[in-house]
Amino acid sequence: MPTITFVRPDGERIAVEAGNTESVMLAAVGRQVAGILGECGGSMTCATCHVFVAPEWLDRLPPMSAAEDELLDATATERGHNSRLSCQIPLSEALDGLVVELPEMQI
Amino acid sequence: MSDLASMDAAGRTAPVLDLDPFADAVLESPFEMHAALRAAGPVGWLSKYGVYVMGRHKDILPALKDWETFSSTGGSGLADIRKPDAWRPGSPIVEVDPPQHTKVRTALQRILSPAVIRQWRQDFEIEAERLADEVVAKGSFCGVTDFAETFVSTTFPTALGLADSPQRRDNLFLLGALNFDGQGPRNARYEATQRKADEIWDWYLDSMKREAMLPGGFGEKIFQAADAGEIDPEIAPLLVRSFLRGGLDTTSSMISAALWYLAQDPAQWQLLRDDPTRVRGALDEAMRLETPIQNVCRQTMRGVEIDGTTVPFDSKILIILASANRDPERWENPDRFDVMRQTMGHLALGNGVHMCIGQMIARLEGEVLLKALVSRVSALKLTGEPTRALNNNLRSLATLPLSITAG
Ligand code: HEM
Ligand code: FES
Repeated sequence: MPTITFVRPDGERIAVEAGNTESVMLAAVGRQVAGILGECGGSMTCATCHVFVAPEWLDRLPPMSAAEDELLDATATERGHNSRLSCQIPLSEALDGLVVELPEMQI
Repeated sequence: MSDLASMDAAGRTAPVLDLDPFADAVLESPFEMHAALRAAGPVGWLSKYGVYVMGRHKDILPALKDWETFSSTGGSGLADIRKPDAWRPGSPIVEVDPPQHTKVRTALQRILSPAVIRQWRQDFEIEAERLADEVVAKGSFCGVTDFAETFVSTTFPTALGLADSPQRRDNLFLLGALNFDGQGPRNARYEATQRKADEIWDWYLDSMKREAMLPGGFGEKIFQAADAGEIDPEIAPLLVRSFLRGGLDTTSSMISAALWYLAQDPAQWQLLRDDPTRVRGALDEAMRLETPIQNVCRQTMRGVEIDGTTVPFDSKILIILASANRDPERWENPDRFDVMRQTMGHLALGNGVHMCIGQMIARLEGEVLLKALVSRVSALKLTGEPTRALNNNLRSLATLPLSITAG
């Protein structure tokens, strides 16, 4: 079971056991990590699952689709070079130790 | 037709169900029928209508995700729109499968981008505050006609870019009723709605034209997407149509259902007073329990085994989202309204590639309106029995008598 760490804007770190969920978004929502809403359930309509990926992890994630790239332009907190939609990051053992920062706002 | 259901290749049968999801009594209160459906198995055969039916969450969710097997091209209602007796052109968004669907959806998603929707927040808030002041001044009001419907019919058509007129509100609700009645059988309810709609048909046809779209709205952007070659020009008005017909009643149903549940449970209202960011969760919970669009339909593109029962190729399946949303196997205390519930996985907005693309507008409308009330009202009370507006597929209240204590 991969462990994922969410870092809140105030620096607080929340480590969660991701369990058998399908994506980083679902892992966060399932563990009630405030700051990831995932309102559209991963159907790429809401952009409320925005995260900033720790630089050392960026290249180890599956590449983003054109649709994800476009939706990242519509996030409530402006995207950075390391932005991803966490519903588009499938979970796997390889992600054990992943660190992502939460944005100030999701809506 | 019923021989289709009588046996599959392996000799397994879908149970024949003598149920009528479109009878008045069932529309008033469908929950007993849902329970019977879930108890009967993963899939049943509705002998009265000659279609299959599903009601369990664990079977419905994977079906909605599997568009290759469960196609939308047979139409969103009971009739198979590809067959000569029921032929009509399909909706270019909700009644197509990938790859065509992907192209249209991508263009529409761009138009309904969260960033674009956010630009409407301030306008919606101003209207929400005006309306909340109005009902607070009144003290008692109808949560449907004085509040939810007034708000949605003011904000949403304006965001679409449809000019206001004395008949706009009534006409749009009539078109919504027609849209959702039309997804059921050709019964007396549908016929009556169609007759009423016939009288406004010219207004309807004019409303989806480019000339009808005021600058700055979603409608104009749809036509601009056609100019840019992102979608075919002939489908632009049909996309405007899907907004006109599907965006109002659904949203106001969600809002009035939320008010109804909140008025019945002061502790839940207090939870929103304590932390108004809980309003969005409350709306999802209201969507789960009310399920404004009760059913969607799919057509099997191959013989498929659903949890041990085989459904033959080219069968229509009525998928009862409302039943999945209260399935006790999926939800703890399924009938209880709890604004703190983790509602992810409810199916009121569908799932898979067709999952509602208008949900962020619906949420924004509900959020600003409920927040405006939460900040002004210490207690919300039900002052009588609400009544329902019966429709073949849209579940909503007709009246909701409320009184408030300001504070
Ligand atoms: C609470 C309010 C709403 C509810 C409960 C709702 C429900 C649904 C459902 C269940 C579907 C899936 C249909 C299927 O799978 O066959 C859907 C799709 C759709 N909805 Fe909504 N809806 C709501 C609000 C809106 C609004 C405000 C709009 C307009 C902006 C809208 C536009 C659409 C469109 C265009 C589709 C088709 C998407 C596709 O096929 O890819 N809806 N909606
Ligand atoms: S959950 Fe909606 S875009 Fe990721």
